[in-house]
Amino acid sequence: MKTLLIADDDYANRSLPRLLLDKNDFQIIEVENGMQVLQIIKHQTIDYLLLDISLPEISGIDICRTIKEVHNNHHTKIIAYTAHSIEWEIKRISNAGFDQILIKPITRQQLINALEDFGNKDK
Amino acid sequence: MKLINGLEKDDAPGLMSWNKYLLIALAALLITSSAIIIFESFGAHLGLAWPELNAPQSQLDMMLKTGSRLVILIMMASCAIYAIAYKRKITTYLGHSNDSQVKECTQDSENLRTHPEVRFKDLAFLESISHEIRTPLNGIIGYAEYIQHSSQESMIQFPAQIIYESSQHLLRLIDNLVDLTEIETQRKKMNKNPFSLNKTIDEICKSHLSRISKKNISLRYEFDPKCPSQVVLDENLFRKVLSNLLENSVVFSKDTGEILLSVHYLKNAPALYVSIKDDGHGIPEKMHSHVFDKFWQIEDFLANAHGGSALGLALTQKMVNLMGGEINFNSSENRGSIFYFTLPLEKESVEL
Repeated sequence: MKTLLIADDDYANRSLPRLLLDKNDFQIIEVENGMQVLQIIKHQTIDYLLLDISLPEISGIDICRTIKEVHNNHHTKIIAYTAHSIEWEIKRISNAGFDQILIKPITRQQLINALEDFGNKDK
Repeated sequence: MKLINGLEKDDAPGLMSWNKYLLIALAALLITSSAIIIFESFGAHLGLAWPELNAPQSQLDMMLKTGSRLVILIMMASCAIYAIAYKRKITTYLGHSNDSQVKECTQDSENLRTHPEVRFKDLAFLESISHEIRTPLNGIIGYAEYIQHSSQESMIQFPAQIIYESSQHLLRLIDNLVDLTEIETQRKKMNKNPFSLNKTIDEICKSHLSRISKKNISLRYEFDPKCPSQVVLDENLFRKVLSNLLENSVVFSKDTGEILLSVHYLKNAPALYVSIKDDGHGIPEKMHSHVFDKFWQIEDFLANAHGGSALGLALTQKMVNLMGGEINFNSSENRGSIFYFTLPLEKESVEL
């Protein structure tokens, strides 16, 4: 079973992926700020990280950079989970090194596709 | 007094207080100084002169005279510069402003309001609004979808589906608004990529099937075999243009009818020619000139048609123009409409 860490300060957005995904496919952990993400990812192997961009304290972009460049962790696939949709924001996000970008509002199919994409690549 | 009478305080707030006094003082200076110069130059010839002018001219007298002339000249020059700089305001102040100047003023403020840099602030504002709307929409759409899939009861499924569709509608509206402003502020960049024309159009048609099936409409699709199988265009823009027009034709269709989508290839240009024809309500002729206006809806005139984002056609026209193409339509009330657009293709892309 793969682990999926979800970081979003909004409760509805944080709890949504758990409902949309099949219960048996993922072990899901939910957190609401960036510090918690960095703490968990230090001590536990996380396969997928669904990361909001506009997080309090540390932005999603800084978290992504820290994980990729400081922790040198390339195992965790980081998916931006953002409500930004305009071109310059998307560019800023993709420049930060995210593996995938999901733009809110998401549908079940989009979420599944985003996670499956990595599955196929790994094989 | 008449000079100032025509003024309203609101005309130029802030300029009222000291500028008018400065103006009057400068005008008085201009008049006196020119009178002195005229008197000096021509008065002597007529034997009319100030006593000092006839007195024996010492070196000091000459210097004083030249000096005072210099001062007068500088004053006149500064007066002229001041007058030029405040030309528009002066004419307004003196009540001489005519229609063309008023028009010029309004045009200036209009240009300023629609200037890309100013509109860019609108875009940044709209971006944050879009972000704020998308955040709760994610909850609404996601949970509605969850309810729809988790329940077998139609009494629960149906309302959930309505919530889902209405939220999608709201999302499209805000997206269209952002797209439109992005194009207007010239921030929209083209993203040309080769894609399969037939496959893309097929996908667009399929995505409209659920709307079409709600009415008794058939959708027919004609594809010119001479069309290149691959074209280089901004696929995203192409999808939006075609989707908007298809959505419109479904909205405008009567309860039964036919929509004909045809794609042709203009070899000489080379360009793509796409038309979408419906036999629906059509657009009354007096409304034709407003079709591509923002926030214009036929619904105001036809109570039985519904839907549409009110920005669809304005945006569609902007997107077609951005791709270098043209869009137009023919329509007659109660008989239907045909919207058609051309998209120029690059020569290389045609050979692919």
